[in-house]
Amino acid sequence: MKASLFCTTRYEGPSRKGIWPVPADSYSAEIAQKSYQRWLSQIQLGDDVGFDYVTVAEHHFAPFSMSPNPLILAGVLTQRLRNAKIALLGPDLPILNPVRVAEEIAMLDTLSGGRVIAGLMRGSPNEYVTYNINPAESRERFQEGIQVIRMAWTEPQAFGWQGRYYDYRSISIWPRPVQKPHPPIFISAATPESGEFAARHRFGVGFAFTTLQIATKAAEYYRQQARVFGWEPSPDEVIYRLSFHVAKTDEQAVDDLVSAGMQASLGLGMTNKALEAAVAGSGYYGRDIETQRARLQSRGEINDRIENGQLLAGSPETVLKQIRRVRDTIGAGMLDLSLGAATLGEKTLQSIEMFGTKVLPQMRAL
Amino acid sequence: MGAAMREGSVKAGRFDIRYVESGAGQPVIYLSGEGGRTLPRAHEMLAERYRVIALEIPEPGQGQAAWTLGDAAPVMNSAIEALGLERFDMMGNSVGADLALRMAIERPQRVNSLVLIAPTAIRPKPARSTPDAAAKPSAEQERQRLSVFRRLIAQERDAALEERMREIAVPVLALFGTADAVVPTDAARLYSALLPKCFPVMVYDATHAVESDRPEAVAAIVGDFLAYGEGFVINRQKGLINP
Repeated sequence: MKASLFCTTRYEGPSRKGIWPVPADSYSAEIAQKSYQRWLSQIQLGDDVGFDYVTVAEHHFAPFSMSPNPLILAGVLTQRLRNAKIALLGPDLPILNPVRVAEEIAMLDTLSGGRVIAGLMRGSPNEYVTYNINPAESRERFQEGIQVIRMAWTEPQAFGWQGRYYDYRSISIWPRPVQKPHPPIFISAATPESGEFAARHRFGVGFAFTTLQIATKAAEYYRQQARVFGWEPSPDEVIYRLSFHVAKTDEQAVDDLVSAGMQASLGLGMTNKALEAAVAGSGYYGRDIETQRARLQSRGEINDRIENGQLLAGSPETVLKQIRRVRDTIGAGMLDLSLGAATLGEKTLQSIEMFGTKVLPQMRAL
Repeated sequence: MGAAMREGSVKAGRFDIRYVESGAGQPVIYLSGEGGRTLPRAHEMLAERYRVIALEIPEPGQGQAAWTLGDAAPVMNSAIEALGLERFDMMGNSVGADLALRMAIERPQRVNSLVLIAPTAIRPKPARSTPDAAAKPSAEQERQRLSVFRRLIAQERDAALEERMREIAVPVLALFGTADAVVPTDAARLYSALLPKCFPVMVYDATHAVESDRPEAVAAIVGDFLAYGEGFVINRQKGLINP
């Protein structure tokens, strides 16, 4: 198995809670700059201790993750990382210009020497407010946009695109991706619609903001659909995201998580209930709306979160056991690991280091 | 509704070629790969801006099996001459696009520009999977749907035609459906390489029946191309939202 380290560019000063968009009335430029430096030091440690990938993701209008363009973060990383590759998980495609996304990822692939994977996402529902895009059109925009991108990466001559949502009269991007035919594409396959789309186009899939039980069902549906289209996804084509915190002992890990206030990695813009209800009413969640809303609201105490496959926590031995269970259940070949206790300074760094040195070597053999 | 349609016929050699026309202004010859004289919705929309003349592609009589598009090209060119058209634009779909290419090669001085929609003149084997096509009608089903014209679909490559395509100096708009099981989007590369001024455009989510699947999309881009030629790449839509 492989591991990707996902450290968010969290604003480390005070800010309003339980609201989205978050007002910037208490914003400090100095704190923001320090927050990015802290992020970079965590990522560099992850690279040093052997993480296979580091992850960047897109979020807007909130201190939770100051990464409105994760590809700029990735641009920084292309010049800093020594071994780790970059997992772009990902640009929120339906709210962006797909040709621009194709260009930027091709740049990153070139700057990094062919070391990016391209996770293209629909984003969490609140992101649709950001650039004023109708969330009801999200899936159609996504499915068309991803095909614009693939063609922009692979067509050797200038071409136009007469789409339903996108209309370009002449496209010929420079630079071109290093990886041939193009960087591996991953999409979220939380919904049955996405699972079918990924299977049809032979994309890899990722699961986040979910539970192991819900994601396992979705992964099985993806594999079943892939068989319909005549292929069998490998474990490397399934990424599962959860948070982690490793300490010397299980007790220490739990104490750390409690003192960090269990920085909930779930929620995002879902804290804005009126907004969430409006998006749910737009058809954004697709035909399996109950499961989709449930997984995004899923929270719990530390033990519940471990049980639900949302958290790896404990000593290296304990965490390795938890990883085995995740692996045996969902069959993922890569875990995307966010920080369970992101704000504990030295202890956060120790967790990254212990994961890299004490967990990863055994995890690779799984 | 589109402009009123007028039907007629014109003599060309031993053929009596029927046509239907609609609209006024700049004349546009239209050759349907399905052989009929009906104007699909896309063309009704075009007829609001242009004089669209759909010519029936003549079929040989019984026992004349050796009929090819190469034979049809001069016949069709004389039909256009008989209609009194000096200069015109020409568009065709499927085998109609193949025929339009051959006609333009034969009478280059008369054509302002060409629009090829899912042209079957040269067809590469798909170099990559076209997953959307998998869910749509198969190539065989598409060919069946094309009925009598299916035998006119070129067998992949035609060296003689390809050599002469290099002579076509006018701008060519070439449309390819992203879910077309007969002509893969890879064909765009061949047309671009052979035609000196080719503008390939992918029509998203269209099968081989590009105009039926995406009438608004086809009418919009063809309309702009006929109006502005190579300048069709410039966006002229108003961006002002709330004046």
